[in-house]
Amino acid sequence: MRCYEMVLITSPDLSNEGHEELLSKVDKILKKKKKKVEKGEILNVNQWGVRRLSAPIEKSEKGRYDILTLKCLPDSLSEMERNLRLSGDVLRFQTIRLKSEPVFEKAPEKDADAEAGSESTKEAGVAASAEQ
Amino acid sequence: MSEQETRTGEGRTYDSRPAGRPAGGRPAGGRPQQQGGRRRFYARRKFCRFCANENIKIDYRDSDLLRNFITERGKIVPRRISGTCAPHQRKLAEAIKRARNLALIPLCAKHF
Repeated sequence: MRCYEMVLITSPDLSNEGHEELLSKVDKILKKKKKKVEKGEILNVNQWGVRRLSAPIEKSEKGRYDILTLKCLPDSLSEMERNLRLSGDVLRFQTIRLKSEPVFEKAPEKDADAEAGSESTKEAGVAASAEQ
Repeated sequence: MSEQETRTGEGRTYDSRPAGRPAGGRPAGGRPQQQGGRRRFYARRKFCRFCANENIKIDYRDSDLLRNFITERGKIVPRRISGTCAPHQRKLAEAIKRARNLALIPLCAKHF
């Protein structure tokens, strides 16, 4: 099992339901393993909300940013990325492998607080300001 | 004749500029030295911001920090200008490239 951090930029036109559906689809693909030990999961979702893009992506000036922290096997990650490429709502994604498993505090709902535990406070501040 | 004289005069001033430089060494990002006047130049020692303050983490999501290290045309500021040390510059360059891909910082001047 490896930990990854994925930034997902989706179309701002996507409805909230569609957005949730997409995230649950991601979760489903990661969990699609027969052995229990091989099942991946989404550890945390940090939603930045809709931001202006510095350059248009697929003619869209805005994008909805989500930062997902994942724990899964490499092959389920590539399977998931393949599905994201096929999805028309995903403008862009970028996955980065984390060296160590991030530690989230007990309340994963409050992303800014949770991130302060694993990463520097500076980053948490940025995440918080982006959410505003 | 007079025209030729002015031309050679111009040539001299042009030539004298690079000749003036080696005497003072490479000005470390300071102002260009004034000709004729007394040479004043305050070489403020540059330092790596990330070595000086270890609390600053280089992260591709931190676009406000990365914006300090790109030019107004969106290029990565070279180490010799910013003073960043080699290991941190490598991390910085990687972070800038990641942020560019995610449309967090501008790709080029057009998008400012």
